[in-house]
Amino acid sequence: MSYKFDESQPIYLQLIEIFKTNIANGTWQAGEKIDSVRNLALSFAVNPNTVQRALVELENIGLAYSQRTTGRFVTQNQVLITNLKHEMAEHKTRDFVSQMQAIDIEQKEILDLVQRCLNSEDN
Amino acid sequence: MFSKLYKYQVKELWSVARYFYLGMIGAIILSLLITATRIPGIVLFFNALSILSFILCGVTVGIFTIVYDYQNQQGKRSYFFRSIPARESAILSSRMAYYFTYYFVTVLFIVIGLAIFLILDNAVKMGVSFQIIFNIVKGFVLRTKIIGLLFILIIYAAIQHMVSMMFAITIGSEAKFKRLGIGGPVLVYFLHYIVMQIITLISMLFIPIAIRLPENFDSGFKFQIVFESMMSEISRLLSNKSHDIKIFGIGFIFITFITWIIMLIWIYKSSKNKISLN
Amino acid sequence: MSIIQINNLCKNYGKLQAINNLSIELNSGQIVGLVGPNGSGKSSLLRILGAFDMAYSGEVLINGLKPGLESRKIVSYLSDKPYISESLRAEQMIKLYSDFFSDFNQEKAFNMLELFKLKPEQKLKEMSKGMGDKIQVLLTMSRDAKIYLLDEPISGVDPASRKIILRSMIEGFSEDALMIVSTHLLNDIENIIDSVLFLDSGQIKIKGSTDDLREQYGKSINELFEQIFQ
Repeated sequence: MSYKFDESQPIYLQLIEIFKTNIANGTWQAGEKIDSVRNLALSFAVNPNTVQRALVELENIGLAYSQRTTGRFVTQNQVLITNLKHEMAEHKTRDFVSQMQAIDIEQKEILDLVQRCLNSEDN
Repeated sequence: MFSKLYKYQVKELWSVARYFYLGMIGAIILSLLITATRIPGIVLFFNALSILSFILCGVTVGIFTIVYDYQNQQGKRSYFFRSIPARESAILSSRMAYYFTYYFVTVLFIVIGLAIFLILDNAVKMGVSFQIIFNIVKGFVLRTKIIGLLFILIIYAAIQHMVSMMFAITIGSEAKFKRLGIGGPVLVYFLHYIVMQIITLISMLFIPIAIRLPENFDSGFKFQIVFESMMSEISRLLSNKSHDIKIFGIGFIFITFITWIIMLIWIYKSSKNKISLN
Repeated sequence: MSIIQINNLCKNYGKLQAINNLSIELNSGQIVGLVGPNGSGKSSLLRILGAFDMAYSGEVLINGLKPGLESRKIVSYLSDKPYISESLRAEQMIKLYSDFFSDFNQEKAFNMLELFKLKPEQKLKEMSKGMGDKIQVLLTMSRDAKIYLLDEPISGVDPASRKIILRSMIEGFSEDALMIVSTHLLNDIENIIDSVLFLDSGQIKIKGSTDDLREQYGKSINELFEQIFQ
């Protein structure tokens, strides 16, 4: 697996986003063991220290925890994961809305657009 | 580490040198077969040809010995060879052993081969059988004094070459000769050669140790060591007190030993503290 | 104490000044990108650190000692030129390296051989240029060294091999080691280096952690490099 990073942004911030997405969508299940730093570094083709930094950040916000001998795990706290999901959703929605506003789309039009997109996906 | 380094260097060159040694053996065998035909014109022609290719093979091995050492020290394999964490003494002694092995084997090969050619040549001219040739060779080999002297000369030449080449390659590759490229070692070789010749000549003339040559060689090789310098003999000659120089200075032998040691220390220090790869 | 300490290092080739009064300290546990245009002194610096060039002025300390026998024990160096006998088979080279370097890890080497899809009985001269380069990276990275010096490991290599070489660099790197990689192809390695040294005319122009520099300038290290040198 190879991932295309936005190289004008710090890699570790982007890694944190990827890891959060993995936790939010269940690619990384709650309580599951996280792959070793080296393997993650290999699969993203990035520096192991950068992976380490991102994982430590993940621990700091409580989404992961370390056990000294067995390694690093995804949090088992479902509340945190649900919160994460909502937080990410809200964040992305805000981005979306501000982008719409930037091209002068009105509120009603935005809602219509969203509705239409969802409908077309159902079909 | 010495034996690993030695084996590595010998094996590297062996992958090429073996073909040339085979060539030398081939030349001798060819010559033997042709001589057996006893057709004078053909024998002379092909023997000359095989002697030529025989010597060419030997010289090529000698050149390759130098080229491979250069590549280990400065050339394309130097980034491997010089990254090996070995003591400088192990590196130096392994290089010496490597040179010595190939020079000794090659020179020995050439000497034995040439002896065979010479005997064959004479045998053809005289039309004698191989049995007689064999006896002649046996008689020659049994004159151990000559063989011994020959042996010492071969060893002497091998050491001389080895020290000279290592000196030229190592010192000639120091940073100050860098912009000359391969010209650095060549320049150092010629400089050291001239200096060595001068030192040899001076020590031959002025050091009061010499051998007195016999009046004639009928009574065999009998030398007498005298403690006179050649210079005093020459001054006697110049003042007409004598008609001939009858002594031969051997003081240079000791001086040569000393220069070898000095050069080896020089190589050691340069290789340890002044290495500068391309 | 930093594993590499350089104080007022100068290196001349005749009148040409390759390294001009350079001072820096480098700690273990990071991958450092050494970048700069051709002739900026990258290779000269790596050669001096690798104890291949002792004709310099200033102070260079590796683990507290001048480059030499002791540093060779802990430094694994990759030259930008091919330097291994072409008549050897891959497995013979691995044997050769483990003979000469006590920190050589044969298991690592054979694993990487598999990763590179190379056969142990293949000879170097039967391999393509890219494969030969890979073998040298493999041998360099298979040492459990304290310092890795890689001079242009990915230049002149096709993109597929480049990926594998980068992979083997990550795989071979251990947390207590220092790796210095010189390159002018910053694009490919910028994600795997912790920090970067921009070298120009033998002097350090910019140094810093790659993520910090990205944050500070808001552009990729490669863009920053192009901006500075063009």
